Amino acid sequence: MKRTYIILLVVLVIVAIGWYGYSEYNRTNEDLLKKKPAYSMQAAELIAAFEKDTASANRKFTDKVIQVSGTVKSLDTNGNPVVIALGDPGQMSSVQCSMDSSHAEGYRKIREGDHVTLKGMCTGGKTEEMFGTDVILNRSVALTDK
Amino acid sequence: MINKVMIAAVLICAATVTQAQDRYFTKSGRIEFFSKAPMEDIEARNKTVAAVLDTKSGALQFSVLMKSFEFEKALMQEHFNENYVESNKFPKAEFKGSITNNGDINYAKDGSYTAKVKGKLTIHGVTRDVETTGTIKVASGKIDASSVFNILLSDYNISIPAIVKDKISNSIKIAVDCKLEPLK
Repeated sequence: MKRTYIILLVVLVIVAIGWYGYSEYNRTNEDLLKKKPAYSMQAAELIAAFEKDTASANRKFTDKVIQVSGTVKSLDTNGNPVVIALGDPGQMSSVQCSMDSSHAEGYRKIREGDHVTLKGMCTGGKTEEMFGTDVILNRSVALTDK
Repeated sequence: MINKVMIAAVLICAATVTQAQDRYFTKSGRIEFFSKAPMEDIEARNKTVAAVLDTKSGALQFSVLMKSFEFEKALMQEHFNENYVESNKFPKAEFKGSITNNGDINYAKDGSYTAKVKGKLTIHGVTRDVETTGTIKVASGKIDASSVFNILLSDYNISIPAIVKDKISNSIKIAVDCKLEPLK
């Protein structure tokens, strides 16, 4: 009887490990629509933080969910994903939001010049003489009702 | 005296405008990589490539953040950033080079042209000379620059853990496609 329990326990442990391994292997990136942002700010503020000190801003914002509001300066709908750039149209710098196509209904009516609020995973920022300062948000979702 | 100042100002403005018109750029260029391997195929995409092309000189520059590559599987993405390219330590990859046959490309005329590209590619903190060919498509004042080429992970000191060494390919196919617009 005791031996049966031990065999049953071993089988359960193997199944549990197998299930964990399988689900971990097939895990997809987290949906950010309901995820609480670590920071909520204006696009200009976020750009300014990276312009002032890129290394320090990267430490603070990279791998964090950020909610950002601003004017749409450009919209790239060529292929998937759609990329919405927020910032001052007169400046090179921008927040580039690569959109999550599984929430396309939230952003398909957004147009250049609109004021919108987007939320995405910050993958970092860079400042270069040629391109200005760019902050990248991946898997972004639109919170503005557009 | 005032006339001279005005002429100088006009010339400076004209020079600036000409320079800007020679440059085409994007910040939402696409880059994808693909590796076929016995264990599993690895592919990722990134549509936030910053690229600029100076049509006058043929100078070409690309820049991309490594963490912006998106994989279908989260675990693969984490392994890519932590174990392979070490994105926290080397956050950016870039290419600086030029189109060596720039004179053969007529940017004023719509068409498809073969571009020979030569320059320095930096990945994982390692810079190497690369030479490849690409296509420049000119249409209605816009430029589509694309190229497909292979790199070896070992060239960029990206080591594959011993346990999966025989199952992951050392050769990675990279495809870049940038739709460039005039820099205003």
